[in-house]
Amino acid sequence: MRLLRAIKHTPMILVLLFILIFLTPMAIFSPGENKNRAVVTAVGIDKMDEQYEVSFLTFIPTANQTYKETNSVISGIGNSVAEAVYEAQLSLGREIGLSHAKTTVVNESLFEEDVTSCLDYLSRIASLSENTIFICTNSSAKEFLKASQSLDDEVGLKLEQLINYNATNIYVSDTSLDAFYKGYYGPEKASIVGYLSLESGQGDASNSPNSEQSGSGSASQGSSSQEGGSASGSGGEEKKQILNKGETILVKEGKLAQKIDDEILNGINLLNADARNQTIHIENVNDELYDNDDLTYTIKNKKVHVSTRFENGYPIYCANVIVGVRLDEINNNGRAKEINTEFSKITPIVEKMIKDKLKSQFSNALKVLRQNKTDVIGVYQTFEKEDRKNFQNFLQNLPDSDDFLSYITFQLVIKVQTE
Amino acid sequence: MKESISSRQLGVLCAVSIFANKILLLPSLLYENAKSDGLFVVGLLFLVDLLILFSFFHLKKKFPVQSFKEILIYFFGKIVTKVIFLAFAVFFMFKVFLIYSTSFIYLKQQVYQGEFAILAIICVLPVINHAALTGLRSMARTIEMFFYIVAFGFVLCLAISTLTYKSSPLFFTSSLGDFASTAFRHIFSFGDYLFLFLIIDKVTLTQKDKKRVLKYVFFAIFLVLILFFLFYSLYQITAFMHNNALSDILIFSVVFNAVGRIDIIAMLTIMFLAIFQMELFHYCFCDAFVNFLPKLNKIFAIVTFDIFFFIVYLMLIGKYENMVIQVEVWLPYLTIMLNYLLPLLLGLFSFKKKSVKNQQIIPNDEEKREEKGMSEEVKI
Repeated sequence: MRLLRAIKHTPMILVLLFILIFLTPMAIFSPGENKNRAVVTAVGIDKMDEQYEVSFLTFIPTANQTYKETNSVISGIGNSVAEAVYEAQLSLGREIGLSHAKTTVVNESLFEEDVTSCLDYLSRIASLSENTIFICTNSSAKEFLKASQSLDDEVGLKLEQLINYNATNIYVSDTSLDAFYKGYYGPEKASIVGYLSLESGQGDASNSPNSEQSGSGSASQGSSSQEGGSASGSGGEEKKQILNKGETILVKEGKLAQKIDDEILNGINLLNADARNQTIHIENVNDELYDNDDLTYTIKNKKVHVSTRFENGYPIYCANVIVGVRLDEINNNGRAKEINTEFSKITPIVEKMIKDKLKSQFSNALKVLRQNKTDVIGVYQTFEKEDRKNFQNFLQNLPDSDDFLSYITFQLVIKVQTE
Repeated sequence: MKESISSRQLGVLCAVSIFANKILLLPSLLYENAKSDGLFVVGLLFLVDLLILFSFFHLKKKFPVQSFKEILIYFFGKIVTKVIFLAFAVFFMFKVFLIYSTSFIYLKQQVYQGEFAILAIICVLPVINHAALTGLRSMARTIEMFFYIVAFGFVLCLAISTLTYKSSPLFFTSSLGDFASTAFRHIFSFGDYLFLFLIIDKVTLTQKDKKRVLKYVFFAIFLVLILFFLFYSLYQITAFMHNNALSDILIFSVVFNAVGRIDIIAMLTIMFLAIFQMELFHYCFCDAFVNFLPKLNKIFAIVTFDIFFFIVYLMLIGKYENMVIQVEVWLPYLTIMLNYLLPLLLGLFSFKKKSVKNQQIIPNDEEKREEKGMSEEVKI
């Protein structure tokens, strides 16, 4: 009676009862979301014989008593990306949810054409977040995902952690899908995309191409005891491991323009104040402190001041770079050297050599950027912000406005000091 | 005064109304034509809207106790008043539709990947119906109680996104024509103070009260402008690809994207705001409807709204893309008439005619309204 009276006074209770009666059993008896949907943590796209293969690194939550996650790589092949995704869903028996996808790997061959054609469906329709990290690989993206799965299983290193490390310390720029699109849709039409190669490994680090280049400072995915990921299969399948050599690729209008190594990347990042921790190696230093020694410095801090001006209608890009360095290592070919590296001063000769090294790095990087017409250092944006009218006039007078970098004079003033 | 609300509650309602339709889809839509100058479009429309707020203050001063219906009949006569109320009802109904569709698509992307329209309707309609039924005072009290949580969530989203701020966007890149056409096409997302006219008889505004209301208004405007600035700064050229501004600025950075579901802060803020905005505008629809058809009471208005929701929104409009088309094609004309032309005419007429302080323009109108259950909290 009391209930009926309450309902009579407040009919909204009826709505509440309706919801409770109809929706609560629905919620209780409906299957768990993970039964219908697979959580994808990484996406890989390959193209072979005019067909697309889309692979998903999926995480399937299962009850167990360890912290080990159950991951597997599922793929589908189709004439379009949408069809391949559909096929993958059929293989998986679940719908695919891309909200948690943190990495998108694309095979290098897809960069031969405009790569956005294969990304369009995923980002526009399938809700692939634009904040996923976008990387290119030399091998099959599917094998890459398998290798990353092993990487996680064997050394507990997740792919996105590896890429995040690269993004912070090597590329020093955003390498997300959104950053790629930003360059693609921007006036420069150029972007920089992270590159991780997948190489055949024999279980011995000395056989990897990485160790051949150990002098250049590139890093491997582990030593012999810590092999990188391995695209291992059962039986006699060849092991493949992810090699992180700090490489990137320059992309122009969605196509691969050039693969660049860490040396060029350091040159590109010279004007990036956030780019620190790069090493500068100078050889055969002869002065009052050193006797034909090789020195290795690390950039610990950096200040960059950029200004622009026009002379006779041509733009001049001036950059004052103050680099704070720390002497990390002295290689004096076995001779005894009593210099405390932490307090060593920078002699004029060393300063000149560091400046020359940095200038040469920048000059080489600029050459590459000019050759490929890829402004990934934000020169266009700087001029647009500082003197748009003159810059637009300058662009209009160029035979090929896309090649504007070649007509810009760069004035670089570098000051080296201890950190 | 029946069902009156305090100046603080009025300020909170204004702030909630200012956030409506501007924190998810609008920054992206404005970018399509006006690029980063979308920020100035919003700034300009905010300025124009502020004039409407001051015209409301002026009208309130001239007619301190009269209802909006009484004022309209005094100036325009009964038939025109009915037409105006019908236009108000349509205006607020589409406001609810727009808020629903943008929030729905956001939640669909973030939480529920599948279709959940019916589930959303079951969750939304009873709540907003109940709010409209119980009246302005209880609704304002509820919104006031949660407002500080919502404001904190909003500020937190902005604060976190400033950690990834790098450079300001490029301004002044759009032509004057693009700027003007963008402002016109998205004018329906504004008209934030129009609801004030409908509740003109339910508020008391002293000079101190006005200052308090303005404090909330400027706070909300400031937050929205900061949101636009940060959104255009972070995304720049790709701003057109991101439909959920408040949420997307949180997950801009790869680092923050890796931190679980940090966008839960934005999600909760958006959900609360969407419900409050729909409640407010649904109440306004009911008020306008009852004034348009005085023989029907508020329950009829609510049922009518629900029927329209099913027929007009679910069956005819269906997708949010279609809703955006409605917003850009014909609703701007309605907004201009109601939000700009009407307050302008009221302002002009009120200057011309004598002040009618404490006079009842239409005898027994208040009593009639009470009979229909609009002024009093409805008890069933």
